[in-house]
Amino acid sequence: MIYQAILLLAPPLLYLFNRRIARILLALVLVLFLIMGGIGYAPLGFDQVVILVTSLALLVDQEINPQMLSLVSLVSILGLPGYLPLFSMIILIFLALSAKGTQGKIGLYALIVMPLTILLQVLGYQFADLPILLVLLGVPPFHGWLSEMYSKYRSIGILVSMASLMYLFSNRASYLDLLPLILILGVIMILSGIFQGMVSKSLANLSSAIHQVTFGLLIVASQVNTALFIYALIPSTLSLIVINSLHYDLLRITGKSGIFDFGGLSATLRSEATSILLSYLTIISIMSLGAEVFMRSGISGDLEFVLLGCATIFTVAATLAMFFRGYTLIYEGLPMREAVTSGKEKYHILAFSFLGIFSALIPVFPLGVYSFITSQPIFQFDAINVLLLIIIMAAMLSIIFTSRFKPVKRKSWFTGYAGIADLGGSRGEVFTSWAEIFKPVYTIRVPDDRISAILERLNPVLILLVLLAVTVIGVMI
Amino acid sequence: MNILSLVVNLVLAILIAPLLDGLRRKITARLQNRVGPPITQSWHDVIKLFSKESILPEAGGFLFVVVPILTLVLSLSMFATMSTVTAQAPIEEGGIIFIELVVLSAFTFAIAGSASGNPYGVVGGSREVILATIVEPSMIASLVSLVLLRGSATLDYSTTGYIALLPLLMSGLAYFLCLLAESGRTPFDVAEAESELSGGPLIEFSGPSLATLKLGNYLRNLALCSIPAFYISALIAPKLDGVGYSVAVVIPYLVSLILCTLVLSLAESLNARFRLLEASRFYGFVLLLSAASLALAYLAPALGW
Repeated sequence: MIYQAILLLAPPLLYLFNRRIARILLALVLVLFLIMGGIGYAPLGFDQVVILVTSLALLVDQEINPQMLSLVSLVSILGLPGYLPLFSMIILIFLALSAKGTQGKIGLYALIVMPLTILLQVLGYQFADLPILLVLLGVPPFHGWLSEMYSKYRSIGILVSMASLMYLFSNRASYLDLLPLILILGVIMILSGIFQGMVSKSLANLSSAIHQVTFGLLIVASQVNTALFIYALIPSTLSLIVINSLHYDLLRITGKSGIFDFGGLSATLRSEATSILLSYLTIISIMSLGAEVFMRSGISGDLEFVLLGCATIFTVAATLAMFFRGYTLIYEGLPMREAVTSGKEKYHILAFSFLGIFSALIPVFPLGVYSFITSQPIFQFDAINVLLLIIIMAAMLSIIFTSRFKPVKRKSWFTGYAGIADLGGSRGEVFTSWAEIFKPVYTIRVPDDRISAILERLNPVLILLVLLAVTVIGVMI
Repeated sequence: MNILSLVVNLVLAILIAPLLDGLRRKITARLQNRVGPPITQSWHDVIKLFSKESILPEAGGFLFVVVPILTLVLSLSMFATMSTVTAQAPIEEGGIIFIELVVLSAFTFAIAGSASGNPYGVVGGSREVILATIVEPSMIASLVSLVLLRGSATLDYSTTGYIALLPLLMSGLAYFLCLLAESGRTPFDVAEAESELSGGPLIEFSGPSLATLKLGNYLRNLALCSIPAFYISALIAPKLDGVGYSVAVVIPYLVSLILCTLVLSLAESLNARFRLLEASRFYGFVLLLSAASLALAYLAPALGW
């Protein structure tokens, strides 16, 4: 416990004076934890190692809030029984958000799920903590929290979701009765992420959609195929960290937030563009392998898996379209409009993205890491990432092709109606027909904005006291 | 992996894919009372384009260069997953990978448009994404029901005994209707919209890049037109005992190619172009049909069909 106390106290104290020192100290504490776990002084479970390593990797983000990171890391690895770690986590997050002067959607969701959790606990269900998990993971109808989390609280969002996901994975036996529900929610999460991503006009919303799609797949995999989940965990986490960090670097460097305000940045931000491309490919190829695994299970006669496989195959392609819509709007699709200087952390980020794609290509690597941590024999995962192999082959052929047919560079096009400056701002508007056709999908939503507006008038401290009172009463009953 | 089958498939595909497009153009021309180009015209077009210079627009980046090759590689990879005129497929259980490649290649075509930076290309690309989003779920469902009915994900001509007729016909019909949109011709050429967008996603491509994209599209269409051979094979499966290689393998394949070419030519000649919203309504019904075939394919053994 003393080490956990160090983790909790040291960075926030130092943060008062120097954020850089706080980050370094937090990194040292996390490494210390891992070393202690490694030498067997304080044995760590797989989920705890994942949380510690994710916390460590998130420190690459310049703008990370070490206070929040240490809070979430601490609560995630405490190892209390039952629903308590997540319960504590949500209160701490709620406190942190309230202290910032807003409780946002998480306040509303907390009000919905906490009494429900207590009720389920009192009734003796093993899956009492599921509502809290669903909120923290941003599963529909709670996905409003995701866009808030990734636009306001940035990298912490990944750690919160990761901790909840690991908890869901570690306790999957408890949720066995609810498997169809979790699978349906996971698929809805992925699909709604794609639909949101396809019409997103801000970089923050695009980030949220990417997180939603990736975590949706991880939720499904965590419940149905352990080998697939272990395989997908490392590359997808690395990719999310890369995407998250680069998107926010871009916001910081340029001061712009609309997705159509960018364009042609790959000319100056080469390593960033490469990192984003590699990370997108990593996520898509993991989904592709997941689709194949689900479908193979389904053909042997399980309709649940056939439907899951169909949905995932469609998701792979739709995610490809969503990602590359974002990529072409930001990094390509326009001649370079202005010089943008690179962020400082680009080499760390590039290394992360290469490690991610390497893990996606060689399944034995992430599975070997799991085997090393848990001292279990390595999982048999008889699958090859065909899509990634095809794309790598295509990229190599492209190099040969361009050396043989060296392209002649042509000046910017001119439509006869408008210049590039006018068209640059409205490139994405053609997707309005998408919103028109799929209008019924977009009209389904929880009226959380309206309820949140009412809640924001209430005193957060009062709400917290009521919640604690309900908890105490619930536990006593 | 069956290397011989793979080599035969790839060589055959590269040779006949442009010819199949030429045949479609010829049939369409005859239906419209024109002489039309020779069947080898598409081959001449590709060869001519490879001899031209390749122009990269100022807005074109890495994706603009990669996407044509990716389209070609994805299309060629489809032939590694199925039998054409060989009895054995190059790989076992390639059906799932085939479905994935078909769906992915529809979306990579859209990326080609967006990567060019040209607003007409972007419009074409976005229409392609929308159309693919509407059509692909039906396509996936019909192909998965074929796999379920055959009881194997290997796309070859091996017989698996009696196959339930109703779901097979429903799945086949849904597949044909999806093929109309997948082939990118009238009445569903909403992405290219040749009368107003002059090629849509392809607008900025020229020379070898355009040739590669065109060849990729010809190969993709050939692969899609090859699939009905497995429906035909499944239909006549119980009667295949003792028949020769040519009857069991070559005839279904040839019938499949000719049938698809005729259907596509007829659809192209007899219809005006649909608007995107009309296409979405039409494929709403196709999705119901393919979903019903999937459900029946799953239930067929339990129902004793």
